[in-house]
Amino acid sequence: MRRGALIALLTAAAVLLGGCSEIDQAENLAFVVLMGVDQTEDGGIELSVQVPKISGSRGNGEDSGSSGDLVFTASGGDFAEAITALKWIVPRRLDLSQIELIVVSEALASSGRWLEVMNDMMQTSRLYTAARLAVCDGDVQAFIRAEKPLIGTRIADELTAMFEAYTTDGFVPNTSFADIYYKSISAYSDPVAVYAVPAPEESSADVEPASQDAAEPAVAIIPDDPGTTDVETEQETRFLGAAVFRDGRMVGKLDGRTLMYCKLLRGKSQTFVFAHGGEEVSLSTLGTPSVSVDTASEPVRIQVDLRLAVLPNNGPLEYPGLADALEAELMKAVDACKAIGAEPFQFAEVAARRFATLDDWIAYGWRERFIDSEVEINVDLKIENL
Amino acid sequence: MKFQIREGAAASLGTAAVVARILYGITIDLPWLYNSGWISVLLGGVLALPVALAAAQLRAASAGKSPLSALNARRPVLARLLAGVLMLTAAFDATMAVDAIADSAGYAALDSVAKIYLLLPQLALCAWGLTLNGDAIGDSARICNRILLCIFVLFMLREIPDLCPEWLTPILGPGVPALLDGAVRVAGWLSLLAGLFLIAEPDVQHPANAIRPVSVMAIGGAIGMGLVLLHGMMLPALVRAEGFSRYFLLDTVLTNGRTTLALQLPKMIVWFGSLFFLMLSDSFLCAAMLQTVAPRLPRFVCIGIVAAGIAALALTNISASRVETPVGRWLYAAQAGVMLAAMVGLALERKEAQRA
Repeated sequence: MRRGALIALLTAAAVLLGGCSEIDQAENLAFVVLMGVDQTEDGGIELSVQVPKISGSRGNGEDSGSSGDLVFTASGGDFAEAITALKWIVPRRLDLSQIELIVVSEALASSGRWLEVMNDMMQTSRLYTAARLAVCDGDVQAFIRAEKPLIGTRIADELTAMFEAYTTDGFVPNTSFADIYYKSISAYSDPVAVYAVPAPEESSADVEPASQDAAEPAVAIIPDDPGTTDVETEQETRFLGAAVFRDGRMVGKLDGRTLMYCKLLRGKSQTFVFAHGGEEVSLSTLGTPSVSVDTASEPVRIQVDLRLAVLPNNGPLEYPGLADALEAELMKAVDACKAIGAEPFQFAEVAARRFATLDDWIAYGWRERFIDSEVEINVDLKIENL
Repeated sequence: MKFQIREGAAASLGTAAVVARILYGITIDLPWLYNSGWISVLLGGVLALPVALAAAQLRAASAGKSPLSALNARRPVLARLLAGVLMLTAAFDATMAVDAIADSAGYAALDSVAKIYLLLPQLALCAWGLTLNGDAIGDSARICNRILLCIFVLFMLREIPDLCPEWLTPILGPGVPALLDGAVRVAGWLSLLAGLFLIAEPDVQHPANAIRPVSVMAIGGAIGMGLVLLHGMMLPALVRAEGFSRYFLLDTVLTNGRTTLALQLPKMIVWFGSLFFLMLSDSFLCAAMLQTVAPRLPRFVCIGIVAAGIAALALTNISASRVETPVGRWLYAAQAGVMLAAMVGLALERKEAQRA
């Protein structure tokens, strides 16, 4: 009884002692929701952060983003210096634990410096590395300023909802900053990040519409050009497709359609619409593809067996040539990545099984062999009827 | 008053401690094993098995007492010598545990904190725990094991979709020499249970709770191996990383870039809770062995010496790789040597008994 009382007393004291420490009022903190990373003309690093206003009216001062939230920008010789400068100009304690999106300029991502910056970011205390990473075409600071809540009232919720919808529909990859960093310093497949562009300044009626109609031979019906002028929106930023990285450097882009095919080959579940023979066919992945890699052959042979279900609709019960059309489209995606010199399909993870040690695997030189590989894709369709 | 622990409580405490040690050791102390650390855990378990078998033999021959008490009654010099070795190994491992908690607290804090502020609260808590004696500590471990398991299951359910078993290959990862080195270290961590096996008093009232050293070691090793496997499936082998700082490695375990903010607190609770029991287990063992070496020391003096000693060792930065790495290899040799000496003592007694 005495011991129990002592335990209870100490537990209560521990709870009460919590009040003796300095508390962090929300108003004392600057929660960064968006962070932009760019390089300066003199080779330094520029950071732009968007900090939502917690209370009070949303102003439209020069230093405010379009949403009325505040945007702060600072630069330094490297990431650490830039963060220190940012901590000085932000009149609250900078909190990086709630970041939803990290945006890096295409120029920096394509430079050899990006891996070093990622290293610094991973070492930064309480920087939320599960935030998404987007590569932005153009000026990052302007991109950050242009990002605003469109439907909701909070930018954090807006971004979360948008990316959830986009990843479900296959418009963007579902990867985090840490994913990209880890894969950049590992020896497996190459990572992909979201690709983003500022919206075109004006929509022109004279511009030829993008080729998304069903008359185009056998393609997935999905927007593939983020800069298309066929759409009108108040949103000043657009996210579509992916940026492909290799060894910590961006080496190419995948448009919306190619990204979709990449997702299918990676084994991600996806439902999509495919235009074929004048019909629009709804397809859905069935399980994960069976991938086999013969590393002993020269060149390497990769066999992918993918099962898709044709979802019930009012169309014909058979779709002659659909499987071949799908295989051709998937091969285009593979060829596009080979041209870039990257392998984002997770074939490397399968190939690595055949090696005993990491040294043997690295010495094999997977990426070069993938570029010269023979890839055979077999699509097996299952027609689902009502 | 003597430091003592019933065998049921010792089993719970030992399991919690060894699981925490394996997980922390493989993921933080041995990052060069990449995603093949589970093989080292498996081999280490096999290597440490003779220690458990020896403990089982010693317990069977002790008849109603703890093996160390029985040995102390018959051969006090040998008992004190063995207790001295176990005390030093327990103190070393307790220092590692205390440093692990300090590093984890520093990681969780927003600012870097002076080490003394990270050490004193946990050592004060540890000292308080020691005053409650082994049964209270062991029973607390039993309760917490169940709670921590529930929390762990909850966040694993969330993280299952992100597991990638392919990242466990190539299966031998860094190569056989590195895995064998890791196995020796794991064997050292597992063999730290020897101390608990030697001091656990038979639970006369609940004979069903009789400690089975082989089972305790096997269960602890299996759970530890499972956790290391799961960690290996959460992120690829980081072969091109430019060094592994403690902060970076803690990040890979506690958040790994996928854990949602809502799950980070439960993960921290499991992490700190299990490390705390590791620290308690090692410091209790250290105190009990000190009391065997110097029986005239009052209990509170033993607690003070143990806490101060661990603090002093921790402040000398003994956990730095340049010290921990070479010393850690010899932990198994020391522990196995103790058990071998005890078995030799037992064999000699049986021989003498046969002659008589």
